Amino acid sequence: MSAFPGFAVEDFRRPLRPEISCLYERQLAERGGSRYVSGMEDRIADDARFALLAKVRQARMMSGEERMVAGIRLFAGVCERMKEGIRDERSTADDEEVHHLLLQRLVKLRRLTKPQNPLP
Amino acid sequence: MFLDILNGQSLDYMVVGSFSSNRYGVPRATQDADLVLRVVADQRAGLFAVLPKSFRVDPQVSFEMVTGTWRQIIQIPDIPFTIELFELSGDAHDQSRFERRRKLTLLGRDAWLPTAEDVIIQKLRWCKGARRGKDFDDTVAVMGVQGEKSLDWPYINHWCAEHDTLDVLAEAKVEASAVWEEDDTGH
Repeated sequence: MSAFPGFAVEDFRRPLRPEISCLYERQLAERGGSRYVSGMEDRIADDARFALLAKVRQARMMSGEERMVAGIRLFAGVCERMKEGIRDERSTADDEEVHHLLLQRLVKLRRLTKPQNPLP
Repeated sequence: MFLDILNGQSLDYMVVGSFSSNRYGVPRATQDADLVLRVVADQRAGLFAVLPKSFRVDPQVSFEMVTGTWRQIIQIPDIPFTIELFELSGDAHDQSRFERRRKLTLLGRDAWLPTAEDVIIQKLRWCKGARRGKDFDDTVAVMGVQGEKSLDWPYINHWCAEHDTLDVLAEAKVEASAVWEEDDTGH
């Protein structure tokens, strides 16, 4: 059962836009053997730059509204992965208990990642 | 949807936080919706009165000592999602970004959001104040996706100087320059 009504679990395993999702892999393949040209530091910097460029290219192919919806879908997918982990830990838990444990973990995660601040 | 309620009540609001950085930058998982509202007490009570029963309003309203504003959390237990409401503060940039907000669309609905420049300015403020790496990444992503030439740099520089965040702005520009160079060369 999906944590988000209206979204099937399979939706989160399917790329939002397949032609965009495969862009990074395609560009990586195109670079082939010339990807690593010097020492480790250069390779790290080169990889970081390449990853940023790929992410920005993908994002530019989406509309602003698509990017906002993608954020919701990404989180829904995260919830499904977390539920799979909870089910693995608690094999006897039913859907309701798994959902309850998911909510508890999200509250903890929120406390860790969202410090109190008066201006969001 | 919560936006329908806000729009239906003709409330002045803007969607901030990760929704706004996703709008202008690279999408990342959004676990909550942060909204800034300009409402008087009666409007706030009216808003909570029309919320669906599935929305759980945190009975504890927190008052921010720094800004003198209220903050309210709404949980939607059926789905693991949180809505956090912040009252518009008297902070000069908070006022500025609210006045400059734009009406866009989200899931086919009208939604008021800050401009890309104001997202950058606020993210840098968080980046320096809360030391959160994701705010820096969001800033670089917005700069990269929007492109160097489309952003109002005098406005960004003005507020970053006010907030003493010009140093992190400079760092973010170095990171985003990889994209801008590609824009310039066309490769």
